[in-house]
Amino acid sequence: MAGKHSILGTNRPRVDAALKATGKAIYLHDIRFPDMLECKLLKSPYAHARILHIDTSKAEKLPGVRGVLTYKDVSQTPIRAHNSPHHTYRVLPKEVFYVGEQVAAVAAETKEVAMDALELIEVTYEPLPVIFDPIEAMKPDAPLMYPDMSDNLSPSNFPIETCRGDIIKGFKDADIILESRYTVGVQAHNCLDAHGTVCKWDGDELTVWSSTKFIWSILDKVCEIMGLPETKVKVIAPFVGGDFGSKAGQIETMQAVICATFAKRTGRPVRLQFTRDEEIALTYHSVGPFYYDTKGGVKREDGRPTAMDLVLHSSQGAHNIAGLEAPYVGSGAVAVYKFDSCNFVGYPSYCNLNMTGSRRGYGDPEGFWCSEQFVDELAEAVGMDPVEWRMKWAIRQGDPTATRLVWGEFAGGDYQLLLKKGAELFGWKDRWKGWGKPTAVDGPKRRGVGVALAQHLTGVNNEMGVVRVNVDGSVDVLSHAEEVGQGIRTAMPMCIAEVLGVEPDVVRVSEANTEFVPRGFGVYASRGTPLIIGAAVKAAQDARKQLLERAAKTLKVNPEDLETGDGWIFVKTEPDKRMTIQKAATVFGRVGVYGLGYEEVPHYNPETGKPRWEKSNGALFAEVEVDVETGEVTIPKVVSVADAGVVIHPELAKAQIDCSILWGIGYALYEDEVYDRRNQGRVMNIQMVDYKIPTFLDRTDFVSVVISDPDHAPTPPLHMKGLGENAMVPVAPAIGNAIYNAIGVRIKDQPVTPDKILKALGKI
Amino acid sequence: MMTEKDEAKAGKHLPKQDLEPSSRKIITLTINGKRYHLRFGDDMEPWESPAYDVYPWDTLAHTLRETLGLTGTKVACDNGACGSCTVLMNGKPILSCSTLTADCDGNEITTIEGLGDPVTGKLHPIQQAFVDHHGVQCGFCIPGMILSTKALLDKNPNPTEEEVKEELSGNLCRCGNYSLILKSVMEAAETIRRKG
Repeated sequence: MAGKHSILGTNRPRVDAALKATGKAIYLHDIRFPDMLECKLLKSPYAHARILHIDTSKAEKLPGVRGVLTYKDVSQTPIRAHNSPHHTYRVLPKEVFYVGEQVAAVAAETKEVAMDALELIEVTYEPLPVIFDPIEAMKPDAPLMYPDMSDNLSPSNFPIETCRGDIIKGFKDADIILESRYTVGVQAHNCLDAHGTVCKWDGDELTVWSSTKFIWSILDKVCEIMGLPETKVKVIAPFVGGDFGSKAGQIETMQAVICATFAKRTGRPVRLQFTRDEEIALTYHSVGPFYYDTKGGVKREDGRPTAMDLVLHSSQGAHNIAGLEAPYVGSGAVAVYKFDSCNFVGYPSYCNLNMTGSRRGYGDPEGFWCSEQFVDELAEAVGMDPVEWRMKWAIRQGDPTATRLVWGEFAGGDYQLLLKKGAELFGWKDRWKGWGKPTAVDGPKRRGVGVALAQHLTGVNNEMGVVRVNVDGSVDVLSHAEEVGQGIRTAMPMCIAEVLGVEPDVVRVSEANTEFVPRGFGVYASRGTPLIIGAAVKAAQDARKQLLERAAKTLKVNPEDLETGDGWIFVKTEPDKRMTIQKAATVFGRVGVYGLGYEEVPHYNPETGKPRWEKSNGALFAEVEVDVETGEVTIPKVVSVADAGVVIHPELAKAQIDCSILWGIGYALYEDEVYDRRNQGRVMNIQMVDYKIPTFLDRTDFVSVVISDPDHAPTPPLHMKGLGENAMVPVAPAIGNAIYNAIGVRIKDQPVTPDKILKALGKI
Repeated sequence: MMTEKDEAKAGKHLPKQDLEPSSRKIITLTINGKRYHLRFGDDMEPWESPAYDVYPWDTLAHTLRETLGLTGTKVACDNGACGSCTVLMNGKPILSCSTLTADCDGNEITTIEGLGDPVTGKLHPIQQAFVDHHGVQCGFCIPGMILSTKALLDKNPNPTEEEVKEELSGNLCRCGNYSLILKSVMEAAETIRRKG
């Protein structure tokens, strides 16, 4: 597959484009039944409180109300988090841990009636002590948030500390030692398509439609909480209007259990569709806020990084939904540069803030915001050009790197190549004027340039694939492959067609429905391409093998002598000796051919057996313009170079990078949730007008380059890597470095808003 | 701050005399060339039979999606901030989530469902350009984006890239696919100009 391709690398039309451009694509938002009830949730006004009493009688009597649920009506089995052994999130809890946590649910004929009914529910709370800051949470006298724990450190399935080399020697060897604190806020996903779920019973069989990227997660959790066997539940994902990490099954499970319970009681379909304020108040956000205390040492003569000591405090919110290893996934600078020694310890702690979980890049936008700016501080201290310093000290294949603080050998893109390519396209040599020198000054407007590297894991866990070659020669792929906008349902048929030697338009990907697709996980952790497509490709290879065996018998040759293409199976040396794939599929009658595939990411080197981390990588160059009178920042130019192994669809791959730049600009300049910490830790900016995201005007001169480098993507059969997360990681630190270059003051607190700039310049 | 819509909703379960008197009447909308006569009132509950088609608090987005089943129009923020619900009223782009249906009586509405050729089903050149140039990702912003584009090209058939960005900056695409949306819009403009 790493050789010559006829379909991979071409720009086919997206299979869903016409449906979406005509408004015919069905999202959860659009699923409705004539007698469907609408559901709404009562939110806690307290950051931490015990529910002493709930009286729902007035709400139940309101005309149009068909039911009210509280913790008394649903199981208290927690909704599982992916990677944390401590599960604290419940469908409807007895005790609430953040402002907004759901306290009761109403089902009614219309959502307006349901909302009116919420106001008639009488709740008596006993407010409890609160913590809003992760450093406060770790103090010995901090109130204990969960009584079953000895402190507020949230338990993890992964390490929260690591060290490598001799750090004492490392600091002794250093000529210069710097210390710095970086901080990061909390970001919302803010998908246009908010979380929604519809449930319907047919007899004792439950169907759940949900706006999700992870149907299997919902199936498992709904079955566990409601005590149902898998055969009585099916979960279906329609088109999903954006995910970015937000739809990993936990919120959807909460919605599904509530809807299913109402649906069972009333005998009617029930929908729970979040509005925008519910989307921000009731769902999980990125992990944070972060405090990242770093201390590093370098040698003066060549900039050799000798030591890095990191202490990280981060809030995991009231519940961590996706596992708290987020802050350490890519492990920042110590995993990207050849530090002689390092020490890394994290204190991820519970706080009475909104839930946290995965968000695009999963910890790496945070980690690299800090570390890629800190290494610039080190390079400046020794007077080295930041690109040269990176070129010299970035890791190469086989060097030690870490994922989730576990060390292994690096198997990923060629940083030196990415830097070289990016620097050329950006014109770094001509633009960079040196430390402390803006690239242009025009009245109050100052321009500067910056660079950053990034890495992110690509793929976790495993997947099954099933491919059916039909009796008419068309092909069905049974796959959950949730389409959240990334284009997986366009890329998958291209890969299957490449293997089988047919055209992509005869390949269909099934509905994402747990009733008949093979088991798997969701489209997260940049795993859709390497694993979900990977398993389907292996299934296609299995089907191809069977087809060749059948054709070989008929054509009286060995299967190895055969090749496929244009819907035919033919003898390599005598192409006229051939039969159609359709014919081969019906050799044993009208039953077709089934291929099975299994794919996992081997986190070890198959030759040495040692841990090996496959990574997506990137290098990014940014130019900024800062108005020192107003503090406003604009980004006139960005060059982003990312490696993708083999590229399936160049245009869609490039779009992932372009879109990641936009996300990175939002991260660097706008996106931050503002909490009312003086009161109950409520998120203040819960509407789209208040939570700022990039717009069309932020899209300026972007140069996005995808390097097709199969040699640096070692995992067969595809040699493909995920792009959607990694490409966002270097954007914000490169912008941070460029702002420093422009104005001579480093803003270490994300996001860089005008007030922070003016304050740093001493203007306010 | 309460919007007009919120105020209308908030009043729903108050005693009837506190509401403005609403005589039973018919609201006529022409949607995608088809005329709809919708019964308007508030003295019967929506879940009763008979019920009204349009209540005083119904937004145009609600009427289109929930009452008439035209779900191509998307609602994302429901607060006038994202542009997803954009439809054309008498050729001008409006936010259907922030427009009361009661205020639309007698007007002509175009939704995404009404853009293609009604006879052949052929895509409108703008839709075709979004398909051809990968302007679509998750797709949730696309109906509103395409209708805003239609309004822009109707008044300015030869826009610059800067004019397109400015004009469409009220339509948010959370995927951030603006590069390819821009390309799609520029290509659509050219196709339409060429065809005259």
